Amino acid sequence: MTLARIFAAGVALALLGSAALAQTITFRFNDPEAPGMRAALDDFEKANPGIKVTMQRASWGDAQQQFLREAAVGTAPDVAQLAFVWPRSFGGAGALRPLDDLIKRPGLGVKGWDDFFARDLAVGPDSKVYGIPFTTDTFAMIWNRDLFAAAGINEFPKDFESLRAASQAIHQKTGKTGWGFPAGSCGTPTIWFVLNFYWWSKGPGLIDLQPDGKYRVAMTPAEIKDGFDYYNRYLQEGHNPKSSLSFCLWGAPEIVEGMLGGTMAMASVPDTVAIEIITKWQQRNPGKPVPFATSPHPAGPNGSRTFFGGRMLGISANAKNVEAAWKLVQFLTQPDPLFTRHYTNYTPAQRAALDSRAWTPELAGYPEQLKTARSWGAYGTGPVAIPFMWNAVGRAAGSVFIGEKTSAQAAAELHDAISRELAKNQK
Amino acid sequence: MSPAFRLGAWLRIGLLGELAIVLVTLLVLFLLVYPTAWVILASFRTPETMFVAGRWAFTLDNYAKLLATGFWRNIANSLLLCLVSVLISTVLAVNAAYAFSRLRFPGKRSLFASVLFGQTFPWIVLVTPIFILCARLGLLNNPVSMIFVYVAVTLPFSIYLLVGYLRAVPRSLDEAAIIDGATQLQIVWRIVLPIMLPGIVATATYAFLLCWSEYLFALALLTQDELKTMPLALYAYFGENVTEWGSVMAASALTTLPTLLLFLPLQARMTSGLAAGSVKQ
Amino acid sequence: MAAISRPGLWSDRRRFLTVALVPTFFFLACFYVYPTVFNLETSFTDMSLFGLRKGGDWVGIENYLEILASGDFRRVLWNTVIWLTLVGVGVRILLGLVLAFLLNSPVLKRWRLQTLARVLLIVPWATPPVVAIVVWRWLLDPRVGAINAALVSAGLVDQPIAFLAERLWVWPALITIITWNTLPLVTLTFMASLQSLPEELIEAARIDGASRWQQIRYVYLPHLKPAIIVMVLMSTFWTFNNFVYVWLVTGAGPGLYTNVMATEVYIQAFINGRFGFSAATGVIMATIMTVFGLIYLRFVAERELAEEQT
Repeated sequence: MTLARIFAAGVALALLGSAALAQTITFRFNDPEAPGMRAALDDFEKANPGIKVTMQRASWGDAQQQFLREAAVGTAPDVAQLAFVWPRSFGGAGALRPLDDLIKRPGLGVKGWDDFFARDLAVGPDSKVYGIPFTTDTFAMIWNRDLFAAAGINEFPKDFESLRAASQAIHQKTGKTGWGFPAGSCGTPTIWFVLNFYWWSKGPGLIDLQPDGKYRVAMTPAEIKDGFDYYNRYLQEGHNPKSSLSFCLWGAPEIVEGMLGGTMAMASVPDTVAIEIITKWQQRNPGKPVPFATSPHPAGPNGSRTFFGGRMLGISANAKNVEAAWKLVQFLTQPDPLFTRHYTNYTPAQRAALDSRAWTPELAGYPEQLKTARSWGAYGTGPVAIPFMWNAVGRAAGSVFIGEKTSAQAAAELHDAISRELAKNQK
Repeated sequence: MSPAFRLGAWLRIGLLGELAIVLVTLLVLFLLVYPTAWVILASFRTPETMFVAGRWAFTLDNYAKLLATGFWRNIANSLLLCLVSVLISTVLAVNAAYAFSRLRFPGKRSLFASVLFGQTFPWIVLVTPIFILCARLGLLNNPVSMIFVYVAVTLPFSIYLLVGYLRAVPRSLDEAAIIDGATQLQIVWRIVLPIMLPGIVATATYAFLLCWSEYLFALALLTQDELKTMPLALYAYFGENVTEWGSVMAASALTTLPTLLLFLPLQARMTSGLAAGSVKQ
Repeated sequence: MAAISRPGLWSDRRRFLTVALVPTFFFLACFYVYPTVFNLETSFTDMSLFGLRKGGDWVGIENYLEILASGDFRRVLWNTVIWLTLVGVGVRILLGLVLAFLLNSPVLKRWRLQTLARVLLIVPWATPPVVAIVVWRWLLDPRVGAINAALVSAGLVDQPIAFLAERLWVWPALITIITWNTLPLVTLTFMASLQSLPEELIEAARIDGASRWQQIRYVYLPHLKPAIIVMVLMSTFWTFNNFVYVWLVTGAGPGLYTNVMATEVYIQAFINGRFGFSAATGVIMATIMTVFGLIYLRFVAERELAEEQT
């Protein structure tokens, strides 16, 4: 009898187990830290027997069109890592599942939904929540103390004019590049970010929300021109060499190798790239003190303003196992074990988690910058899509840098293009 | 014996002229090979030293890391897809090229023009509708649909290339075979093919390389990691913030090598199959 | 010349034609018809990337009018037609011819270099575009690149040239990269053609007292003509529609300096999200190529490729 009972129990357990094992969800994760994420997903599977997670990957340049294509035919992955500004437009396109019912449940993040950053960007045009902020980061300036000291500067400049002067001085005294920002064009050029930092230090930027609920273009062509001229001076004066027109990404090897080889004095990069630079430097120069420091960007009348960037998580509209998908999302918003053990270079997009991340002394500029960082705000919620502006601004700046258009001309055209797009889309 | 091309005798400049030709050739070959050779060498250097001139640190770690991530599976996927597609495409192209080149039939002109019509659209414009079509037919993440796509994109130019090659093949052989009672298929595959072999090899290589480095369709139609082809895996190493150069170089080297290895035994076939004493014009 | 015939030839031919043409057109029809119709239809709507499922609203020829009226279009057209296609294909054909003659030379055979040359020739072609672009960007770099190092040490220039950043140099640099990656096919095609040239013809010409240029003009080039014609059309189609090289080397920049039609399609479709608008550009591209192809086939290719019908 005992044997039969054991046998029956075994069969019952196996049936139960196989029924539970029926749940497989797909998770699209696009960063190169795939092995770490896979390890974290294994932890998740151990804690949730019955759910298996298949990890997929797409490179960021293709991820948007890929997701939208798939959503249109119903084959998008269940959970996806999204760029910060996508949930709004994806939600509006019906590609993501609204999450309002799910965020009310306990277990999301450290302190629940209200503690998350950038919740305004996670909301669609219909005021429903479409994304969960996953990680956040911002840009800060990493600079080489030795090169600055050679030009007689011991503190990082606090305003944009001094920064330009410092860059020029370094170039004149040492022959090395000052601020070698990427001036090239591509799908996601860096010049969009640094131009906005400049504009935001003086005002609300390109798009602003008025009290009556309408959006407007908040800069005059003259103010736009001012930004172009500022960065063009670096190229004209030679402390950013013309060759920087040939690359466009903030993490380009020209920048990383430039900083590592001491041929570039400073760069504006997110913390992941700063960590890469510092780590590689330590590997190549064991035992020597690291010459790098990080500081917030220069400030203007409006302060030192960068953006809250990062990633969000979304559940696709065609996801079938919503419960399992939500469990995964909840898991991914807990600092432990994901951020503490596997995905350690990233910060969860929650206030509680932000305060608890331990920054090494060289990275001190980042928590300081995060204090004055601003949300994309009206850029993200307004009627002009960020990719459109990103591309238009990048192209306009590029045509100034290569000498094809004057800054006045480019600024006027850019202002016109954005105004027309705004008028077209604002109902 | 390949037909002689007596450049030296032509120019009548003797040994010095010959040396010049040899040197120019070596220079040209160097220019052709240097960039790829650099990549292959770089794949054996550590990421820290590969961009720094003068420093060299030999390592096999790049390959170890790469293969540990399952890159060998991407290579296998690419090999399978490309070899099958090229086989089908070449077989179909040989037949079709012969028909267009040697035979007469109603509507030949329009049909030939329509073969090329598909090539007039840029691929980025074709990807989305093909994706929608495959999705609706449930053919996503399916090697069969990938093979179908690759055959369809290599077929037009393969046909066109082979029609060009066939022009140079004398018809007298065909006619002799017809009198002997050979069927059309036999004529194509037993008589004309050996002479056309250099052209077929070039066409097949072109088709293979097109598939091998194809990115846009593979990106749209293959989302499961186990099915991904090699270009997808290679592009994935170019992150937005960080590029893993060690893996990139190793993956690039592994991407280039199979084509070279496949081509090596075939290059002997590049010499014409004209038997000694072939039919005189 | 009298047509050769024999009993049963026609039914055999018919059978062969079916075997030869039906599978081919099956593949082509299945693959190209739907996208063509889709694109045509989409180009008359304002479909956006975010509205793929619900489609777009009909706007008639508005997209086309907007494209043709924009100042950018002229520059894009110029870049694509003149720089990318005309210069690019021209360089490739010329260099391909020169290289084919060179590598076919019996001089190389005597020095036992022919096999080596043929194998090494395939190396640039075997390198995937993204890899080629990574290496060439490094080679062209003014600070660490080998090309500038060579130029400066040879005294040809006193300052390194930022090839991809100067208006004067960016197109030549682009064309160099594309040529490097695609020359082997052209060369191989010409070599294959050269090798099928019967030796007797050259002997006959020499015996008749033809000079070397006359030999080239009256023996070699006519024999190469079909291959050249084929390569020109193929190269033109492929180059005109090409996206990858321009996008990965310069991103269609700096600014929009090297924007070509294919990159314009990409930017409009996937960055600005204007799917219908980009489909219109795609249709314009296809129209240009179709017109070119039809004219080319009729007036150039057909005369050369037509055989006596049997």
